[in-house]
Amino acid sequence: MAVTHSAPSIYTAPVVARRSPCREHFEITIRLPSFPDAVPGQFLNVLCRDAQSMDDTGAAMLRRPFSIGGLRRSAEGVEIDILGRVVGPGTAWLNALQVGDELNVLGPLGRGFTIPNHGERALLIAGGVGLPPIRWLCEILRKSAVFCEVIFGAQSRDLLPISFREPPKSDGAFTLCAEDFAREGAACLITTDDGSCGVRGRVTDGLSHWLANAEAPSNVRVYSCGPEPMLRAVATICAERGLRCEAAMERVMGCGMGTCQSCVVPVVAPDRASGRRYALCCREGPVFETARVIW
Amino acid sequence: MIAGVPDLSVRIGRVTLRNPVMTASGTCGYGEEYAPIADLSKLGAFTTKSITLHPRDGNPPARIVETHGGMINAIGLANVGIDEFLNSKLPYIRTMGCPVFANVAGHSIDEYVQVAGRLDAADGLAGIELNVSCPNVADGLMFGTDPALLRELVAQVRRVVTRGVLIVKLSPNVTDISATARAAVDAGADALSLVNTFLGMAIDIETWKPKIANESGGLSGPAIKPMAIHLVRKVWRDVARNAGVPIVGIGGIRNWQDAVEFILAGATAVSVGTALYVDPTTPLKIADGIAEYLKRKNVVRVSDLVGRMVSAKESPTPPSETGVEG
Repeated sequence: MAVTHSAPSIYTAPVVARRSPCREHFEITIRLPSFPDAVPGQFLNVLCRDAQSMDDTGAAMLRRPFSIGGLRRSAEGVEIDILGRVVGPGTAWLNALQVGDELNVLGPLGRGFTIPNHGERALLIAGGVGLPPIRWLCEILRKSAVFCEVIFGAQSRDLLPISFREPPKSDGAFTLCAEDFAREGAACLITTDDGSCGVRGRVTDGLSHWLANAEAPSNVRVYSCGPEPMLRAVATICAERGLRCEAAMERVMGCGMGTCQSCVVPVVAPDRASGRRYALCCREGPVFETARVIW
Repeated sequence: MIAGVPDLSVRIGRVTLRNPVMTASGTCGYGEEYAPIADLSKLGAFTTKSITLHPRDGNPPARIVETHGGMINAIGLANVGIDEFLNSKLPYIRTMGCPVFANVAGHSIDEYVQVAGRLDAADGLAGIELNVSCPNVADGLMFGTDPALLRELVAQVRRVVTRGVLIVKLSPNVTDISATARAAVDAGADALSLVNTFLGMAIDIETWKPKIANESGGLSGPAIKPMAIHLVRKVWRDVARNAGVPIVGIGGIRNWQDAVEFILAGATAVSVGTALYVDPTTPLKIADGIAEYLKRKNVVRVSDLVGRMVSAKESPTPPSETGVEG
């Protein structure tokens, strides 16, 4: 089971770096004087508008949840990366932030991925904007000496928010092609729907390649994050092959703290007559064992 | 200038609140959720999520959608039920250090009476708020829109709520809110809270589907504030002022200026709802802001401000910053 983590707080933090990793995507780094212990899969609830403005536009009233895409501690404080795709007025506002601007965030929230003990193996699967927690997870797993391989997919090359050391293979081979993962020694298979980069197809096609070549796959932990149809497809294959799988899920959230009861995920409940109940994505998740989720 | 600190305390029935800023039911859980962020002991009062006789899973997702200046929700009264509330939620509530009102919802008078009676018998609550205005369950609005039925419900609940304050939360989804307000007061309500959410709907024009699974839901947030203020003024003028029944004003309040507007309209206290999602400390900031405002306006007690809106033609003007008032 994932564990419950440190108490959240509200922080106002300056943007110290920003970049546009690919079309429609942005990455922001903020620096906080301090931040509690957090693990990959946990999220920040981010105010995507000016916190002080009295004459705001009425857009992006509520905070938006963003997975922590990276976290680095140093003498200067704690740097946290947030990666997103522009889909509305809130993300457009984030995308327009410049270095020195301030961001208001609430976190850390939710429960993250299970970090196994030394010596295990992991397969990390990310689709599109599901990359951030998987990227940070790879770094943390490698610190625990967990052997990692990565499957990452998007619609097309220009929607892959990632830089490459070398062109990804189109034949299903895992290589040290993706900078963020190669840095951790993790080989990566890239898929694109249109075949413009790596293997043509979905991440599940990449998973088929992996399964065809994996030794003792049942000893491997699978971690996934991405659009829900992708998570469901990965979960189905893992269930068929007896693989343990955790997924970081996404929901529209009101509060992110368990009060508004909006972000429900149906899960199995053996003790209930109905056999099911609603779990709050913000508190019991966003990371769920996929075998518990009723897809 | 007046020496000392303005008096922010107000009375809701027999309970004294240290300041007039409460939390609104359904936006603050059972208390412990926000405890890491906000010092709940500094609230004027806290109102729990609605409690029903049996646990409720609530509606299928999607349950909320943000709209311009607000949000529509159809949670469907998801809650742990009265047994679990008394067992696992009330012990924490007793430690919160502010008056706590338990919000009660039901499908029949009998359900309301059972739940309210058990809550009134339990130690640790300041009183009950009756939710007769939930738009998101099959018959949730029934009691809140029929004055005769509401009168009967409040009278029956009043019989079992003998220790705590009884607040009735009114629906804005009526032709004449003064009629339901009068029914609640006549039947023994100690206070009125208004308003609950306005019925609303949002549609995805690409898929032609409603943006929440329940189709319609309750609209909250800054978008409803002017309508809520209008209704508070109407109920204060038509019913509450003469009956001496305090109003808890609710609807899109996110800062002290909003709160002062509600108080001038006739609210004795205010509740903060949707704004808690952005910042759970909003009520504490509002209380501080009201104190500063009272000092600036030379008003001694916040209760002196209740209903003090003057007509556009009226003279003299409201308390000036140099005149002594109170």
